[in-house]
Amino acid sequence: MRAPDFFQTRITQKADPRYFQILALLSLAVIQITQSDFSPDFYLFPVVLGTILVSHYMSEIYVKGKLISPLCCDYRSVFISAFSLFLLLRANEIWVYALAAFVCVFGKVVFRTPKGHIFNPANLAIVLLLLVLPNHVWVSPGQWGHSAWLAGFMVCLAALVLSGARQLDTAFLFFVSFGGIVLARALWLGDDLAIPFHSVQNGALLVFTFFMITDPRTTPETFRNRFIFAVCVAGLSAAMIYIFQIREALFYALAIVCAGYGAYQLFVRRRGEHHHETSFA
Amino acid sequence: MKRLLHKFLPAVCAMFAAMCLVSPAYAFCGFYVAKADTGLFNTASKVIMARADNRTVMTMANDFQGDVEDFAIVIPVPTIITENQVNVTENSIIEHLDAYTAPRLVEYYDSNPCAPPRIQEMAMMRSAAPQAAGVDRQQKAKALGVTIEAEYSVGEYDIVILSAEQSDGLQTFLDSEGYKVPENARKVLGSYIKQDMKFFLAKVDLEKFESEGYQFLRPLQVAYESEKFMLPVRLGTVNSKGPQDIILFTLTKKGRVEPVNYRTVKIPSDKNIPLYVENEFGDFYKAMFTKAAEREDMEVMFLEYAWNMSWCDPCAADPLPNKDLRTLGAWWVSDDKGRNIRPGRFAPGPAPVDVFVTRLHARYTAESFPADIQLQETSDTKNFQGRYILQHPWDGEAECKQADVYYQKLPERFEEEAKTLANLTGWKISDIREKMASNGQPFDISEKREITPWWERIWSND
Repeated sequence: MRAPDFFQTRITQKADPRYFQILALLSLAVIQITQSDFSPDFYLFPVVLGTILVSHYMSEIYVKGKLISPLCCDYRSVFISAFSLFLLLRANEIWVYALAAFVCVFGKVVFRTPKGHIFNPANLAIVLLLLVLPNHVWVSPGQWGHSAWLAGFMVCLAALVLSGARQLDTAFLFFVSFGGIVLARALWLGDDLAIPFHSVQNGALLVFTFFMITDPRTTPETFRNRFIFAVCVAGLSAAMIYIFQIREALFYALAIVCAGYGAYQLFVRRRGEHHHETSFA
Repeated sequence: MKRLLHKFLPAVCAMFAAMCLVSPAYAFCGFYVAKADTGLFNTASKVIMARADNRTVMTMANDFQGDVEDFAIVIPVPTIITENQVNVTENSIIEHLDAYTAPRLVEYYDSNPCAPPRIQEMAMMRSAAPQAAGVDRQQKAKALGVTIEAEYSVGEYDIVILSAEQSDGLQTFLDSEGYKVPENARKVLGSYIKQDMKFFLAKVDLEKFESEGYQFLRPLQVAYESEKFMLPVRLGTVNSKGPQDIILFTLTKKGRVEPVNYRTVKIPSDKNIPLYVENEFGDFYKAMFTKAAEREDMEVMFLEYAWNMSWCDPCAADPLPNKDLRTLGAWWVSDDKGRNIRPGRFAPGPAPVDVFVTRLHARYTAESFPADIQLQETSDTKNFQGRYILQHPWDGEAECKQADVYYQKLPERFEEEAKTLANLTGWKISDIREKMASNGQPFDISEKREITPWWERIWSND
């Protein structure tokens, strides 16, 4: 499955898709700042970004085993993580944001298989902080209002379409499975359809669907495996939300499924597959 | 992609269908199931939820204004409630919390422009109104798939806890007692039944009510343990005639509570408004809230107060003593054994309490709030309150040059205040200006004082 050719122009074929993703995330950040009374203060974004850039540089030194110039590193992926953290994570204190940025980067170094890192960095940071510092962090579902949400949705979709097939179908599979479960539950309960439609209209779900679960480094390569991956995340998060009333279910579900997939990769022999997807943080 | 878009369009259209009607805003978690088809009328619902570690205590204010014998309420609850899990408390406690968290007015007095400044501060409270509800019970429930899990009396209420297998049976059960259950309610009841929720029904025991000499129906409290943290509002919108209001107070350990499936917006705060509003603060607040709700198409919950109970600044009322906090369900607060430890007024006092109070206010309709309000406790401890400022101009003697500048600037300031008020409430600015002029804020300063022209001020010797 490949993104339709007519969406590709000379620019998009040559440009790194991460630029589109960064643009989309920037738009979401602007939407959030204008729509929400509870978005983090402006100055926290430079804190997150600064920490993440410095941490990334340090991790490159560690991985390469020698001192290198900061200009030699590729920072595009960490930009995406920085935006994700800014959009999703909430805390009272500045140091928590800095810690999240640090965990983002070093989580990639610590939790890896020979193929790459196991967890989406922003997802790992959020989950670890929620577990270890429950009194300091929380995730806001990011209710933005309908027109703002629709605008965000269109922007994300555009970015994703231009990013490539693999990301597109993971997002699509997850959205359809999760949406399908929510809809099915509403039909079973006899609820008005406005209820399930209303419940998926939050910013956190947008960021999660388009920028977290679609991380090419942490999603399986074959379509069949991606299908199982997406459906597992959707099913697990729905179960956590509706049975255990866990509000941050999406993040936990993704982390659990990634951990499972990582374990599968480590302990089950697989033939390596070459892939040219760009790295995604 | 087109498919996804088409999926959401109907929802978007449904959302924008809300209309705002005139002031009455009446709502409740349950619904009135009256014997006669009396036009039930109640003011804003007040609900207090105290929650920590899955233990919740829900207190429901009761300001039913009809005939006590017509009174009945149905509330969906997550677990079976035994007799010891129900309590009846006093309205005064709810009024106290309401006054403590209500948007407040503060006054400042300008100092003599010729002399160094001196500030004086005062706070004012807003009154609130109670609410009411009721319920009915029946014995031949089993045939209808309805199980009477418990039946008991607490205070002036007779309470029945029901579980049902299907909504038709439950509806018939209530219908057979002559209660009018709207058709829409059946679907909502069905949804709750499938989610394994029970139904808490309460009605008034007339003999007890009269013998104890109660004037008003008192608030009901229910304690339960469940992962569910939500406020069921769907039943309340079923037979409503227009938009409804609900004010939710939460008491938690960690921090602010927010709805997960609705947007939270802070009410406009820290605004300078004209002096005459002091005598019309209630109307001002109503108009401001109505305008804010209209602006958001009644799809949001407004945050009116979020603060740790250990302190307040300014304090609109005395802080609640530990005993009252425990009565409201803050079970984790230590019992001060009647010593009434008072928290500090401007900073956390010597014995700070681990209680964070959030006040959320929503005006909604069935279309704008289709789902029950799912809540979550965050760790956000940032303070917020609705605060409106009256700045009194200097009224005394002031014969220096600075005074001229000061008096010349006053009309600009008054105009700002008038504009702020017009934006907040939607009142006509010409009316505002008129009222201000007759309440100590004239726009034409020359009536009060002769101002020296500025060129005289720069060249005259002094």
